[in-house]
Amino acid sequence: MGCAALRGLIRRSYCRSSQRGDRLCFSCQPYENGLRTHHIKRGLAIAGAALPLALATAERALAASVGRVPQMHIAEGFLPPFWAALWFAACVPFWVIGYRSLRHIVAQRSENRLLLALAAAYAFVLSSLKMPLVTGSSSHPTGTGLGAMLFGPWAMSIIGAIVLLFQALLLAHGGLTTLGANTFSMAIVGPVIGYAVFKSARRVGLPMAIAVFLCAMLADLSTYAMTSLQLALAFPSTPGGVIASFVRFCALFAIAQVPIAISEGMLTVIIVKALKAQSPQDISFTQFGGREVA
Amino acid sequence: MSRIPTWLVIAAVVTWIAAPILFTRSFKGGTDDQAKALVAEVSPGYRPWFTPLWAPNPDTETLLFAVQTGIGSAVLGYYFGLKRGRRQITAPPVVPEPEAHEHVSD
Repeated sequence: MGCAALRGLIRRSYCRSSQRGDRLCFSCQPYENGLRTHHIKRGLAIAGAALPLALATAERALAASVGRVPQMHIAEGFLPPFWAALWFAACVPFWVIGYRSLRHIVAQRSENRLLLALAAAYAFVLSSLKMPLVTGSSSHPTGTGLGAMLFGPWAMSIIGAIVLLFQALLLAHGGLTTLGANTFSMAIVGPVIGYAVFKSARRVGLPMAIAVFLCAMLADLSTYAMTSLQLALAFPSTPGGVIASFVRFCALFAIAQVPIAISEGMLTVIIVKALKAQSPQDISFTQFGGREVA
Repeated sequence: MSRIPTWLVIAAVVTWIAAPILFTRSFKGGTDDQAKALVAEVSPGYRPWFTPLWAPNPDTETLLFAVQTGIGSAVLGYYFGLKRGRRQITAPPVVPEPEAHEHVSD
């Protein structure tokens, strides 16, 4: 009796709508015991909804002041032949390492084929998701961070190249002549940076979810930093040279990619949580299980 | 990992992606032309030396992007469905507690 009265008092002090009268708010009633958690959860949900809205507004203001947003991959024919050939050549050793890494991963455990298919499918889905930007255009994430975390950075050099080839051939998105450059940025630099970030975040002792988020986000961002560098090397601006051009391309890419990189980070946290819940055996053979692969 | 509830992450990402849709008044279309304009601005006189072998029209492009999403999602769904099914099959069956017969031994 006394206990119930005390609970009622606490409830009234927590539930704002009940302070106006004696009645409790609708959502309070089913939560007699978990009252506090319930209210904290609701607060978190509101904060979770308000924060992106606020950031999106900020992004809109920023974009309005800068202007246009560039394409995600380098378009067909938009690198001079010398640079196109150079980036293809730069990719070749990584393709060899990537092929060996894939063979090693499959030989180590045949069940890994399924997990590889999952990593490829994830990159496939994410690079098809053209997300709207407040500037009125769209761009897409890369999805290479997950594969890098599961299998180490090298396996993605093949998987990412396949995704890019599909998009170049069927969607006229990216290009065949720029495939080398786009592979280097998306399938090599992105995964390597993401993997390094994941490993250092774990070593520092950050929680798994934060490490996963940072890995996916920075794999995406570093891809576009590399793309900016590739464009800047090919198209140095006349007064400032490569560095000035790089800064300009970077600034433009950042507007498009920072919000997308954040969503990619969150999506990757969801998929890693699902993997941990649904297939703990598969996961135990990857980086998440603390065992070294490749 | 389990500290942050999954539903909260899903809610956050949905809001994060949906917010620009609500805020955007006019859709300018793809960003390809804007990037090409930027290259032309930084390096006037550059002519692309290769054009796509084949380019889909906008409707077909939407279809093909949807096909890409569909193939990927199907594989993801297959993986998680398979894992879930296997776990349910291989999970040790729940043995009901043997009922205690108090009156058996005296």
